[in-house]
Amino acid sequence: MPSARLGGDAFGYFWLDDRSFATFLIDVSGHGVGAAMHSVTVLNVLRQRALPGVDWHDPGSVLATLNDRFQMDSHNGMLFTAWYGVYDAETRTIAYSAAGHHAAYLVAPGGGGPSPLGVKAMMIGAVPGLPYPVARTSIPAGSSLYVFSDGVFEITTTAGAGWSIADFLPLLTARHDSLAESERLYRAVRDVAGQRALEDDVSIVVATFP
Amino acid sequence: MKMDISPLGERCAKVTLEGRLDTPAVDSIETRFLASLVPGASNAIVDMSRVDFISSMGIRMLVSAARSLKLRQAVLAIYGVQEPVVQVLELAAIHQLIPICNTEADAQTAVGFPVV
Repeated sequence: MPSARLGGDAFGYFWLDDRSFATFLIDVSGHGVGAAMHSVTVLNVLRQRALPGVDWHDPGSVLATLNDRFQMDSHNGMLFTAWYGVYDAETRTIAYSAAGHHAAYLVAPGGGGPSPLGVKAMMIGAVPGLPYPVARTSIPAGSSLYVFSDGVFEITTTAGAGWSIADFLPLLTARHDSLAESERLYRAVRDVAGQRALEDDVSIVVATFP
Repeated sequence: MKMDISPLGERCAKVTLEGRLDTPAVDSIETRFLASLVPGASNAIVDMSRVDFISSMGIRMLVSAARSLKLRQAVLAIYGVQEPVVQVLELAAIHQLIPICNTEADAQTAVGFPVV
């Protein structure tokens, strides 16, 4: 959902082959036409897999190449955060990396809190030539992966308090089957903020693994 | 967001920020922040002790300044960062570009401009 102003979130997902499923989310800093256009440019590169020489199964390769291609000096001072993961349906593992983006979260069936899937690395565009480390984790059957932008939790409550990701995470385990997960979470956050349009863009990707 | 910029010797400035460094704050201070530091290639130390929140836009402002100063052989360092903000900066691995110091004296040393 866009904020009251044009924003810079984008996300996508696609099968790389018959066993590998990739998903990503990017968040360009700022609002307005510039951020939105930059977001669309990066989105098209990812959707069309237009990064020659990249191993799309390797999140580190994808983010390092994006970083070298989208340096802020050449792109109107734009930076963006990114999370990119590839699920292998045969090994039931996900490989992921991130660039200045908070963790995605995995909620497994049977209780327990959300598990962070995060990597500490620089935002895309800030410093050329950086490596982006890759982490892996197993995916139990019935798990749900939540990838989202910071607009979900960088809100001000109706009482005037600033929220954080720690305030948002309990919502992930408060499931309600009558709504799609992304819609349920968006409505819950909007209720907390008491606004029809939130301050920042909100993007939520939920992947459930059978 | 409140911002105060004061000279600290001939080629160094001290910037004090107070409040939430979010999108509205960046919209209101970024032009003066960059204009005060970059054209004069001024080393800069930024007191973050009264910043209780930083968004990606806030990080972008610091990164933009640090990169522009680096091209002019100058350094921007930050110090006194509160724990919640440290966590965000660590997530973004910001230390690869901007020294994160404990004290003002450490920051002065980091920019190569210790004041005695």
